[in-house]
Amino acid sequence: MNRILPIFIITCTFNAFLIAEDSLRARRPALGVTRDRAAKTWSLTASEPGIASPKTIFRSNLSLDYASWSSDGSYLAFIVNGDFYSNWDENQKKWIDGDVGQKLVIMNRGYKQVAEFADIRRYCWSPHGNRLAMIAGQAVEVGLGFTPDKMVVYDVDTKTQLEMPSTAYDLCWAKHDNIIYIATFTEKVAFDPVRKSKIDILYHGIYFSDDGEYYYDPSWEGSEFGIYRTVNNERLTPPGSLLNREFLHPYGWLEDSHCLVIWDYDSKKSHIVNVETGKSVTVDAQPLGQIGAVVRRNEWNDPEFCADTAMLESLK
Amino acid sequence: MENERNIITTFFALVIILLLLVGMLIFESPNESNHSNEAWAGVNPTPTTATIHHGTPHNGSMEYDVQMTNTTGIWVKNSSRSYTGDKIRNCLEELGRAWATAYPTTTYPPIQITEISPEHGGPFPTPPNHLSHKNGLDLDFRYLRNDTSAPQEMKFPDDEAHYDHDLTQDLIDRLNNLDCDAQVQLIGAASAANLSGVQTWLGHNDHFHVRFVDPDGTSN
Repeated sequence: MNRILPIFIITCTFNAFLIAEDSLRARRPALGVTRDRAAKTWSLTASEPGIASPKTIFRSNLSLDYASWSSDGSYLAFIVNGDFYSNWDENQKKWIDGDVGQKLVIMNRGYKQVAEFADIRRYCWSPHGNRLAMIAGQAVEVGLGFTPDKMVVYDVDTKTQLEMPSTAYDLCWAKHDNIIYIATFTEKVAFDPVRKSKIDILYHGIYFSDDGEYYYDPSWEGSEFGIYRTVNNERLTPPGSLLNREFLHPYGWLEDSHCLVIWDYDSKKSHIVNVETGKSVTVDAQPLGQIGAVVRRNEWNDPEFCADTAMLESLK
Repeated sequence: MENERNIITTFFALVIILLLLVGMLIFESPNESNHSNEAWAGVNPTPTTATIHHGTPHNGSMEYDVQMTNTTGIWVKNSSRSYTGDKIRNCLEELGRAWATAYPTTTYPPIQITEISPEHGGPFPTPPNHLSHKNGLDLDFRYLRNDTSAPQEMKFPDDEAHYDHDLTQDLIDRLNNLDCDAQVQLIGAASAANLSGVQTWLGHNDHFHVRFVDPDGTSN
């Protein structure tokens, strides 16, 4: 018995590891956006695992962006980009900027549209359940491209929504404390979606790793990039050059890790960088979903790619 | 009597010289001072009118700033939101003249500046707001079109069939090689614009962002 028990424990642990790896590789349909230049249309496609040809699930003459699944995969959301205009108003003697058709669309797993919200510029799925936090605003030609006017938290299952005036231009729903962190033009604040209350914070950024140990502040409009330790707001200067840049806008944290994903627009490759060691790996795949959201380890534009445990271990 | 008058005249002359010296000490050049904007409020302006860019583009302000308006080769979308420094404006005006010579505005679009900073810098008093653009060093420029010589917005990806890459690239090159008292520090642009001499920044699908080196140094 004394000999059997350790063997049994080792076997169970190994099997659990294999199951975890399998579940990591079990994929939701990969979402992609294609463009038909001749027909001037954009299509959102979903590639079911094991089926070669992707299925078109939405078509529009407006461009599409930032398709992503909810945390449990029951729903998907994406942004339809509005048709921008800037017109001189003779009565007001000023330029009026705006766009037509900007919206966020939510579909269920059967690709049936279940909701849409006008003028949504950014969104973030809740890390648990099927809720969305989103920012609505009016298009402008300068700066970040929109003037925010409200924030909405929407529960897709119950179809209920909470709306509040807000000047937040960016948001992130953190996994470690289930709090929505918000960046306005003057401060970083937080919103508790359960108590429906605002929380004052002293952090310099809003993008937290899944365990909440680190966060970063990206280079919006040429601001200085920084990575911080959450517990004391200490600024990190990891070894290696990838993260020691004045201007950097990472794609996001890799789920359940201390690694940032950096998309290189020029080489069309991603760098996965451990913020503690500075070690990195370069991969031929681009993460899916909105920039700033946590990057799932198996959701990339290359359906074969997965940032698996062995890869992350090699960066420690 | 004559002597007394001379003594009094000399005395008053000395007092005036003394007052002038004290005045010069009080009104020392703001370039060399650490005074904040508020500290200077209400004080008679110094003899210099050179613009002072205080702080950083993300947390700064300006003194003696100047307004950028339409000029040869340059169209300004909103001059009430286009305040900058004198040296930068002079450089831009020089750039505009060279642009109009190279690209007559009857055939080609002018350089189009959509936003710089509010008067005296700081946050814009009305929307839209910015995270930067606080001290006159940051400017937004439109990408240029190939289908009109009139100023018109150009947004990726919708308008990319009308994007004049070569013309926009030439503007970028001219900005990166200004031969004047102000120099460009960096330019941020959308990856879709496929420009060299720029950094790829998120967003910026309808404009590129130009940041100047602070012409009066970064210590104030």
